[in-house]
Amino acid sequence: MNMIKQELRMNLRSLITWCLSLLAILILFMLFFPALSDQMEEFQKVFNSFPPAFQAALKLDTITIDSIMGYYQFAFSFILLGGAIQAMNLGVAIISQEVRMKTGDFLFVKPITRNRVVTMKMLAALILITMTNLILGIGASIVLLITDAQSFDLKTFLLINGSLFFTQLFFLSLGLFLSAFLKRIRTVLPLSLGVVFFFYVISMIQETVNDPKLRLISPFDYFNLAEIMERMEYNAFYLLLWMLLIILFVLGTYWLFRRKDLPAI
Amino acid sequence: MNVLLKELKLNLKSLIIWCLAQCFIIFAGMMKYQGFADSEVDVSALFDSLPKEVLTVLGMESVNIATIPGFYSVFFLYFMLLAAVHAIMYGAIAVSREERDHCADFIYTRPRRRFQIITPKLIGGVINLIVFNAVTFVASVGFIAYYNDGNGMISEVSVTMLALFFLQLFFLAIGSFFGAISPSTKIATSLSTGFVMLTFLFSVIADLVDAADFLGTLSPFNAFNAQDLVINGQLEGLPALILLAATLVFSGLCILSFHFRNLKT
Repeated sequence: MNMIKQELRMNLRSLITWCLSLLAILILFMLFFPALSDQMEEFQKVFNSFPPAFQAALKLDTITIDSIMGYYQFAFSFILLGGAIQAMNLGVAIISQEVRMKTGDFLFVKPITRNRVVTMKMLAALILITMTNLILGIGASIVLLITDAQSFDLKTFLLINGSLFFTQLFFLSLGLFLSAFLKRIRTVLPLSLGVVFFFYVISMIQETVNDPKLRLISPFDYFNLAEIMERMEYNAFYLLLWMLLIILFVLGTYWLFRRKDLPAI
Repeated sequence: MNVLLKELKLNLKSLIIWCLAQCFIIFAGMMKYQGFADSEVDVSALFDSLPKEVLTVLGMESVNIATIPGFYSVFFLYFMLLAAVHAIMYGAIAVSREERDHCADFIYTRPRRRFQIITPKLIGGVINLIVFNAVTFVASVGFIAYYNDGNGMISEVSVTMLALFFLQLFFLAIGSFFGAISPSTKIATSLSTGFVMLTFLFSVIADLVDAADFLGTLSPFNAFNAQDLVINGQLEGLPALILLAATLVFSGLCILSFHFRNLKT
């Protein structure tokens, strides 16, 4: 319990910063919504002139960035990017920081098992991620209601926001695993930023080429926002894959960290 | 010279990983090109008629991705993103690494001026960037030649890589500037993350909303037009000059502010 409290206290400032930045991304996008929806009205006619078969093939009917929920879904893909960086950062840092800040000598000599330390730190990270999601969810619903209260749809909203939580959990566990796997991490951000942007680029490629094999290694596409909007449910196969990978990463973290050689000062 | 060699040795492993990631991105993208080429007939005509907002949402610019140059031009954004993360993080860490590792006492007490130590570090960064750039070039030409009947589009890819190199230099300079003005590596890398995210979002919004074009001029990601580079093989002089000037200014500011820096021991 003390450990969780300590972690929460240490991460409070970065939690606030991240929540504000994620909200700022959303507000930045929403500021340009009125300009965009004016612009889109002209093109609506062009869309309608396409033969229905073409519209279906290109999924034009699902690209509705002129409606608030459609635009929110588009903006949210960038919140996912930011949220993934936050979660990955937290995962990589939370265990490895004891060694990096040379405080490992104080924590790991206490009469508790390393597994317990890992569990407590994971719980603390989970609480932090949950809080980020709650704050962002409340903030985003306020922003959406202010922008356009009529077309606000709760189910779509919850499904889209849920994908942030799930994506964050994925990157959190990946970060934990990497921090247990790598011998020594001197600076967290280059690692987490590199990994997250790598997967982000993979997901952008995936958007263009749409290859089921590539989607397997593209965590941003496990919860594909456009697909969620269309089907109003998560894809069961990728949800299962997501769960499997998380379990693997978490177990791997325990297994590797228990055997890890921790340098003393 | 010794500083330069040490820098190169320290970064060898991360450079190799970055280059492998880059090769994988190019491979994963080009692998599926065949599928597009087969269905060329309708797609080309249709893509020309789509408004750019829709293409942005679909993850493509207004180019015909059914042809090899069009398809490859989409890659320029991915290269920019990864290269930006690589270069800015390199810069941020190179300058402040000694203080992070508590070995500043050993290097900065030598009978050398500070700029004599910082300059080889930055040169080491430039060498890293060149290697990254060269690997991207070779991988691109190789995969393009494979799918394009042996024609690797060497001149167009060279121009693209030259543009990428200007961006890399700019991000390296910005990163090293952040490294020189922030009290710790952690803050320097956080600032760098914020910079990359913010300018990336600016370029996305500028592409999406006509009224937000002014944001595009602020973003280095919008400095070059992928179509001009890949399809026309032309490099615009003005953005290149601005980037080069900014690189020089920020490198100068980095050396200057590092000169007056209070080193933590």
